[in-house]
Amino acid sequence: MADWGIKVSKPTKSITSSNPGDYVFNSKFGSAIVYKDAEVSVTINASSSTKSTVNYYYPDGSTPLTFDYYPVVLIFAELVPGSGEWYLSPFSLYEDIDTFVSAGTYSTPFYSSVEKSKFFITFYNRTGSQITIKYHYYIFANLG
Amino acid sequence: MGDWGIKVTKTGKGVTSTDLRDLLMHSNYSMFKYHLDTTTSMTINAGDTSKTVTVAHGLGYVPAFIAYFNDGSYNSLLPQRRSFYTGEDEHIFATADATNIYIKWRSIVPYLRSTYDCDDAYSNILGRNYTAVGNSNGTGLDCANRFVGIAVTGSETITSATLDFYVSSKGASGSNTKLKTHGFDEDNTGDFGSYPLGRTLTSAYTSQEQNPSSTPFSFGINVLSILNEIRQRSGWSSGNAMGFMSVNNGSPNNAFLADYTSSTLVIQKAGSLTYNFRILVFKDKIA
Repeated sequence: MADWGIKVSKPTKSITSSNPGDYVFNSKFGSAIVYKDAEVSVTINASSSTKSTVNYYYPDGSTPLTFDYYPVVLIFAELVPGSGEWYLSPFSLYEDIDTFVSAGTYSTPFYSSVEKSKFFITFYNRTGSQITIKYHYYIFANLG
Repeated sequence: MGDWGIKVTKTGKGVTSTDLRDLLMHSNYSMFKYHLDTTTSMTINAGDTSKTVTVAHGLGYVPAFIAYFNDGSYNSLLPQRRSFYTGEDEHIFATADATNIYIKWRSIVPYLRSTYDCDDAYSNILGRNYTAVGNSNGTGLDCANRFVGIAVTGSETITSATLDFYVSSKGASGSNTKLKTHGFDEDNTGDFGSYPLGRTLTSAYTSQEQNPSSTPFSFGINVLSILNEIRQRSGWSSGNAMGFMSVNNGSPNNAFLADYTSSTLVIQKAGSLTYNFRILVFKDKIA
């Protein structure tokens, strides 16, 4: 039986290459499908923390979904509102950025988790003013 | 109208499977699209507390990305927070804006710098657990500080060594205190359970004049030459204890500086460290 499949190589790379890195897609290798991605705004009061929870839904957007595995979730957050600089999760910072928002500190438990029906992340605002930050998440459907 | 699209499943899995983990591709769901796969490195020099390396991605918007770092032994996904019982605490993390990917290193402790807390102290007037140097009502004040576990060898390069003398009380005159500091010329100076101020002193010493700032404050005594003389003794071993004796050196009446056991010894070594990174940037837009 022939070795059937579908392959798409990168520009200038051969379709017969044995290097997985030369492919945009190759049905012989796994891939990361993005089930859902979205941006979330979180408002955190001064000197307090806020837990942000994202539930999973079927593509209809309204029917709750529970995977029978723990999906991989990737999060980027603009920890300083309006800075344009986005931090790759997880966050456990002790530098100046902690003056504004931290999703956990050296002495404070990092209260974030991925579950089969939702994920949540807790942000800590150590400033004296209420702030609103944004984070962008990716839920990978076939990793977990 | 049918549900048109394209699906590619893993070997052995049916295209009608409802388990998303059976899929390699499904036109209902996006996939991260490769943009850039590159490497970079960062050299951390002695005394550094922060460092940033920048990689341009050329996309004009904030992209999704992941980054790995190699410390010479292990490949790890960023960010990494590494703290040690010895007090070091470093954080390596990655950020992105519309122009660049940034790999950042931060450390609470300057690289290759060690701080030792005073283990024991002695004052010729006040006794154990006190420090006082200068002149009190015509009486010369001398004292000593001891530090243990000094992790220096006889041969490595030390760029600075400072005894940060902590002051919580001072003489009423407002005049400068004049002091002279030697080390105890011993391989592993013992504690101050017995009178220590008669121990043999190093030939190396530091003389200085210190003005009485508002208390509490600290002032630095450069003990590099003293430390070098002690660590280069044939009997010295890394991890041994060192002691430093500060004596009155002609202070005016009621010019003195005093405390208990709050002084510290700060040693800066020479050296550098290189971390290597791999960054994968995707065309998928975050912001």
